[in-house]
Amino acid sequence: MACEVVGIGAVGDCVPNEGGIIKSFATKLSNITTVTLTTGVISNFTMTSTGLWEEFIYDLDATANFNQVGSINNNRFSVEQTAFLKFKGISQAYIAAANSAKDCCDTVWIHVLSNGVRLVQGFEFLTATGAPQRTINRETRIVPTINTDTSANEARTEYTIAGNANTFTNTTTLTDAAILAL
Amino acid sequence: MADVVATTKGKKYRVNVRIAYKWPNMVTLVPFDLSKPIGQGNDAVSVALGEKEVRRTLPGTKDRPEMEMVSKPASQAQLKYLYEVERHPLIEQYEE
Repeated sequence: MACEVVGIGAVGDCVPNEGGIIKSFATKLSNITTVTLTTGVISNFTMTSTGLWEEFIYDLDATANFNQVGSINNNRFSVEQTAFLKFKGISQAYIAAANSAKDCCDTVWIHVLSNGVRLVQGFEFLTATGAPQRTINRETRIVPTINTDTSANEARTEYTIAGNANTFTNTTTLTDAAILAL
Repeated sequence: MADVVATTKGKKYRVNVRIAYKWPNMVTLVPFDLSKPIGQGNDAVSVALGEKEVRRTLPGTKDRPEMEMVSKPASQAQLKYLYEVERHPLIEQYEE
């Protein structure tokens, strides 16, 4: 993207802007044929078939997050994008899901923030309607972890979703209902 | 009938033939009211871009029951919307 320094004004009032994510949706990158942009925001997806967005409802215990950390190495900029989701308990269903998820190379996630913003992880920032391009530096994969921990703590299944891109993510205006309708 | 009105005489809209062959069950969203964008009270409607409707069962959660989801084939008016408004790269205009 062309260089431009754009000012950012801090929010002036004292409305809380709590961090974290409250819900996510995911699909394989190969399931998306086209991403539609309207004034720079993702307003539509075209999918190879229906029912390919999976819903992830994780523990709302202030552990889920999605962070994009920029770094520069010898004038080479990149963004490490990492989401963390925790599901209490361990079950055969969780183990089967984890074993399937670990083998997906390129995944796309919509993370819903508590302030309503929806960030799309898994492909490079799009500036025009078209097919998405996977995160260039490292594909966005799911890294599951299954911990019994000790009796003093909680048994849990955790997903870390990690990729490395050249750009920060797009946002989308699609609602939960719209995503699930696809 | 609405489709005929919404379509320019002689011009129709379809999914690129090669793409339709590759992905016959594609789905996308269009606004319920095609004169306004999705959102602000204008719901999104899932449509199939192939010739046949696409069905599936949306699993239930603690907040909603299991639901049958149906994506009907996009009408000419909906394809026209995708072509003209969204400038969808997989939709093309052709002469009848």
